[in-house]
Amino acid sequence: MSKKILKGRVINGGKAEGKAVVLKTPFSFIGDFDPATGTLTKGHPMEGTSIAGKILVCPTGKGGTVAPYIAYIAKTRKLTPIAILCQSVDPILALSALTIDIPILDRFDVDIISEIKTEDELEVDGEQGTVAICGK
Amino acid sequence: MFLTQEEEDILAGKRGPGLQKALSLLVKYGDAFGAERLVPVAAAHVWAIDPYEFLKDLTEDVTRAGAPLVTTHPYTGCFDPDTWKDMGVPTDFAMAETELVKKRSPIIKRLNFLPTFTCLPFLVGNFALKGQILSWMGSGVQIMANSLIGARAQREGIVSVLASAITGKTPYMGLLKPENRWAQIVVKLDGINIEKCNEADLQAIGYYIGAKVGDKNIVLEGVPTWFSFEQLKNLMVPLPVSGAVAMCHIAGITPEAPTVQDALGHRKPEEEIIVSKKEIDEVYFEYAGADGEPVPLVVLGCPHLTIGELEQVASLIEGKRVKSRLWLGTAEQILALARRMGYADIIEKAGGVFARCCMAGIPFGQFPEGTNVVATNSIKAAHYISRIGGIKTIFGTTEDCVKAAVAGKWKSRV
Repeated sequence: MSKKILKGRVINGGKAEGKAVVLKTPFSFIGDFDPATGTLTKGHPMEGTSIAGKILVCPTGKGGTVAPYIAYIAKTRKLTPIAILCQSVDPILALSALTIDIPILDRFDVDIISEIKTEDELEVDGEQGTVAICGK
Repeated sequence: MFLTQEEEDILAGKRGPGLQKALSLLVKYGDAFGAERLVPVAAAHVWAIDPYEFLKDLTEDVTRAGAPLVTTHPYTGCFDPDTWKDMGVPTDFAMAETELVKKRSPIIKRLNFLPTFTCLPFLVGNFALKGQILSWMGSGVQIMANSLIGARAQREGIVSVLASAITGKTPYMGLLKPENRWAQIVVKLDGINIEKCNEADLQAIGYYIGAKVGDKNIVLEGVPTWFSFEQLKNLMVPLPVSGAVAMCHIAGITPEAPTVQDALGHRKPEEEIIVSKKEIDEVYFEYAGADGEPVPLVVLGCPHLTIGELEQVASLIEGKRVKSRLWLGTAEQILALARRMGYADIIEKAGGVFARCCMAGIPFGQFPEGTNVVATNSIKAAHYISRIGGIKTIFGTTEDCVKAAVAGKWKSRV
């Protein structure tokens, strides 16, 4: 199968393979995410969508400083995303990913929000700093 | 990143596993954002309720905090070890929390963290000065430290602030560097008489702007330089709730910004944003209550109530009695002052309960049975409680909220 390779900057390394969930708005583990279910909360444009076990694609982070704790709680229940890709990450989302030790990459050579579609199969290589979109 | 010999030794584990883990986390975090070195922090402000295992891990063999001064954030999850019974919090949940407090307390004491349990540490002894480098959690105090005091606080979270408290260091990056602090966006008010805005209007303005500007530094025009701390707090705290703003210049108030041009670093702004009354109304609409809607719980104090705000609540509630539960978040030290002034007794006599907890984070705990609607005078609390707790929140002025608590139901102003 053909693959399209995107190149980005690695903030935390590691590898992950899975389906993408693409958000158009900045994301925070506090407020946008329910650590009991792994889904996006009420009021979010994609309310009810599960990001557990998925590769989260979003413009950047936002919101309160307790977020890494929420990510930590979700991790104890195995309900976190398995990787995060951002246009340009903010420190709190970066710290959330570092806390649960999942790959997080940003600053890609293309606009990931328009390039990647929800349900796309991705291969994240946080050693090489690449993301492969399978089937493209 | 460049590391001193001492830092290299810590990373190699020569000073114990806790320091090693804490420093390694900071190095990873700093490397991600291109920090060239670590710098000493003047003070740290950490979470009161870090997960026990995590706290134990990062503090193993650490005898005392590396930062000269460390204070703690509020309890989170509608729990105060002293007042949970009066709050009506379920016993099983409170007992479990009490056990956790007992486990954490010896570590916090050993490290010399001051148990302030408030989100406004600069009101109770963590006094910041212009130019000082801080590692503080709390998006509200981060933006206020930067914008009102001229101290330097990076937007960061519970993990890095704990690591900074332990090691006394933080990566030199982002808003800690003078060149990253200039405003990028100019925000202007159109047809809004800000001097006439009440505390809820000011928060609605901040909430709208935050969603609009994301993580940019802004300069907000048209704010009188005589505004009180409370008025400025109301404008600023919502900015990193709907968005990720950590620097909001106000000419004549922000120490680095005598003028709008100074705030911009004498550069052209990337963008100009206008806020009008329509945008404020939209925020109210999002968190509107129906007339006569029952309100089982009213929460005030996100961020924690100041002594001036406690005086206001006391004057609104004196001689009355609440039908709803009324929780008031404030620091123990401010509460002592309120007791001396008689405000605390008036509020307690009316049925209000004080708590050293985070009023935005209450859904992380367990609400009293039957709590399906929460009214609050804080847009930040309204935002997080509705999203985290999945329950309806109503946002209004302090007066609206006190009236609702007394009547047991919301009274719409329109």
